[in-house]
Amino acid sequence: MSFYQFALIQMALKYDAKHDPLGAMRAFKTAFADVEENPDWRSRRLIERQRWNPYSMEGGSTCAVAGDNFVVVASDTRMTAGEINVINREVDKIHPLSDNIVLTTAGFHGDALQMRKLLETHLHKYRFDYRSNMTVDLCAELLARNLYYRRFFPYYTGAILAGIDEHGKGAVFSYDPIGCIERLPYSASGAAEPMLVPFLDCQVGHVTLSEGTERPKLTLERATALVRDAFRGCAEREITTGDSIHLVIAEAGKPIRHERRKLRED
Amino acid sequence: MSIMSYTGGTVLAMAGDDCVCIASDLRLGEQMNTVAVDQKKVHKMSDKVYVGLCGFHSDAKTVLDKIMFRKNLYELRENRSIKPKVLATIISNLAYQHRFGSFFTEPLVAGLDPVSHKPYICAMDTIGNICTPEDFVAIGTGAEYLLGVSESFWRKGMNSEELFEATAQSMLSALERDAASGWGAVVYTITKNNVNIRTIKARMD
Amino acid sequence: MDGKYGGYHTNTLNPTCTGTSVIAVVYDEGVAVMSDTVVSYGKSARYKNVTRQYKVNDRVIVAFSGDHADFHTLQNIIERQVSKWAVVGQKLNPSALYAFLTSLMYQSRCKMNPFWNTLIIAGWEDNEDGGKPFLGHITQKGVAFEAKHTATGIASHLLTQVIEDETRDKTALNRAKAESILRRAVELAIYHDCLADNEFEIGVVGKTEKASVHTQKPIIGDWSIAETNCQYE
Repeated sequence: MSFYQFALIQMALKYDAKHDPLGAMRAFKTAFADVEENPDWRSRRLIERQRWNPYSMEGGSTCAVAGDNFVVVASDTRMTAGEINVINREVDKIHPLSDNIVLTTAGFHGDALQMRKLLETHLHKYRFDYRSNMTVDLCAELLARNLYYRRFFPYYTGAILAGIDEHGKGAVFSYDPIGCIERLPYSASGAAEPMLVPFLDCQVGHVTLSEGTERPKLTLERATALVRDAFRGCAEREITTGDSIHLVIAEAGKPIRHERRKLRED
Repeated sequence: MSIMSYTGGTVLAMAGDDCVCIASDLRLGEQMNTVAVDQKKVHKMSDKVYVGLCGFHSDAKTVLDKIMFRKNLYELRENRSIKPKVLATIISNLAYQHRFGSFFTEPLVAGLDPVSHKPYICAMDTIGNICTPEDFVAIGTGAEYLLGVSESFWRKGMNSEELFEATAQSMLSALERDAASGWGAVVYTITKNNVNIRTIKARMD
Repeated sequence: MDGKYGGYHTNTLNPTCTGTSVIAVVYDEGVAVMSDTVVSYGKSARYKNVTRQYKVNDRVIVAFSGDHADFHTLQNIIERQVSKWAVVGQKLNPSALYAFLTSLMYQSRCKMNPFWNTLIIAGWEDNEDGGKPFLGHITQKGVAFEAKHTATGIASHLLTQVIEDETRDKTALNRAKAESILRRAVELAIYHDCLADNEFEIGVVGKTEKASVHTQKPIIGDWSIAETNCQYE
C-alpha cells in the first residue's frame, strides 16, 4: 500500500466529508502536498543525497607558531574548487584584525569571510565602547562563543587566532568548527594539517628529543624558517596547498609585517 | 571506522646511499582498544629484504603466510635469494588475484638487491598497484602524518646513521599524532654488511 | 498545513533557465568581461540575444552565470540598492556592491534558499591616487574573492589556463590585448561547451571609458577538423 493510499484511508477515518467538508479538504491537500514532495520512490537515502549542500571546500592550509615575544602566522594562497581546479592563486586567508590579533582560516571560504566580518564588527564596537583595543585572549573567547552559537549549522572553518597577549607574549588559539578552544604553542589547520602538525611537534615542540638533549631556542628567524620548510614539504604532497606562502609576523610593540614566498604552482 | 584502520599500525621505509631503513610501530588494537604492544608490522623475507604489512591485522597475517609460501617456492626453484623487486612483483600479483575481494592490507617492500646492493623501496595499495619512489614510502594509519615530516627530513645520499636518524625522527613525530599507532617503534637499518635492529621509545599510549 | 516537509513552501534548489560561462580579465586601465547571449533550458538554447551582463552605473558591471530568474531578482535588488545610494547622492562603487552581494549570497545560502548564480563584478574603483580596476567573483554559497582574471562555469575548468598563459609574467595588458584574449577564450568555449553560443558580448569599464556592454560580431570559428571526424557524415 502506498503512502498516498494510506493517507486517503487515514483521512476517510478521521473526517466525515459530509459534516466537515473543509477539514476533509485540508487533510486531502496536506496529504497530496506530502506525497508530491516525497513520492514513494524517493527513499530517505535518496532525499539525503539530493539535498543541496550549503558547504564547499576551498582547500589550503594554515599554521601559527607562538614565540616569547612574537607570533608567526602562515598560510598558502591557493583557492581550489572541488580539489583539483585552482580558481585563484593569490587569495589572502590570513586576516589581521588589529595591531595584535590575527585570524587565519582554512576550509569553507564563505564562512571564513563571514567570521572575519563578525569579529571585525565586534572589535570595532569594543573599541568604540571601551576606548581601547581588545586583548587577544578576549577575542579568542569571543570567537569561541560565536562558533558555538552556530552549533547546529557550524562555520566550517579550521580557525586559528593568533596574536600578542597583554604580557607581550605570543599566543595561538586553536579551534574546532564548533568552538572548542585551546591555547597552544603552535597549531595548524586545513587540508595539510596532518602533515604540518607532526613536523611542528618535532621541530617546535621537540617531542622526539630524548631528555637532556639541548633544545634550540625558538627565535623569530627559526620560527619563520621552520614554517616555510613545513609549507614546502606539504606543497609537495597536498594538492590544494601551493602557489605561495603568506607569512604574517606580529612582534610585541611592532606593527604587523607581511612576507610572501613562492611555492610550487602545480 | 574503516576496516583499514580497525587494528591500526604504520610502516615507513626510507632509502639512502646503499642502505634502506624500514620502521614499524608496535601497537595492535581493536578500534580504540589496545590489545598488544609488541606487534611488529615488518617481517624478514631474506637477508636484506623486508616486507611491511599494514591494515587489518588478520588479513596481514594471512597475506604474510601466502607471501612466505611463494617466496620459499621461488627460492627453492631458483636456488638463490630473492631480490626485493621480484618479491614486490610476487606480492603485487598475489594482491591483484584478489582484485574483487581484496585483502585489507597494504604491503610495503624494502631491501637491498642481494647482488648489486642497490636500495629498493616500494609500497602498494590493497590491490597491488606498486609505487616505487626514490625517497620514502609510508603506509598505514599514520601514512599522511609521515609523508609531511619525511618530506622535510629526507635528502639525497644519506649514510646509514643519517638515514636511521631521519626515519626514527619521522616515525616518532607521526606516532605523536596518530592515535591508532604507537607503543614504540622498531627500526631496521639494512646496509651492505649488516642489518641493525633498534627499538625506540615513543609515546607509550 | 504543517506537513512533515513543511507544508507547501519549498525552496528551489535546482536551476531552470541557465546561462553558461563568464570570463573576465583586468587590463592596465580597466576590466573587460565576456559572456555569450544565450539562455539555456537544460541542453536546449531556449532564449537567444539575452544579455547576461547588467550595467549598474557608469563604473560597475555585474555579469552572471547560473539561473536567469535568480539573476532578474538580483538585478532588482541591485537596482533598489542603487536608488538607496542615490538618495544620499552617492554612486554605488564596485567594492561596495561586491561586499553587498557577498553578504546577500551568504545570507541566502544560510537560509538554505540560495541564488543559483555565480556573479562577476567588474568596475573601476575611484580613489585619491587615480583609481584602480576592480574584479570580484562571488559564488552561490557566498565564497568571494578578488582576482586579476577569473571565469565561471565550464570556463573556470577549461579557460583559466588560456588566460593565465597569456597574462603570466608579462607586462600589463591593454584593452585591445585583453579583448583579444577574451575572444580567443570564447572561441574555445564554443568548441568545448555545448551550452555556449557564438553570439557574445564584451562589457568594458575603465578609467577613461564609462561602463558599457557591446555586442560583438559572432565568431564562426574553424570547423575544418569536423571533416576528419569519422563519426561525422
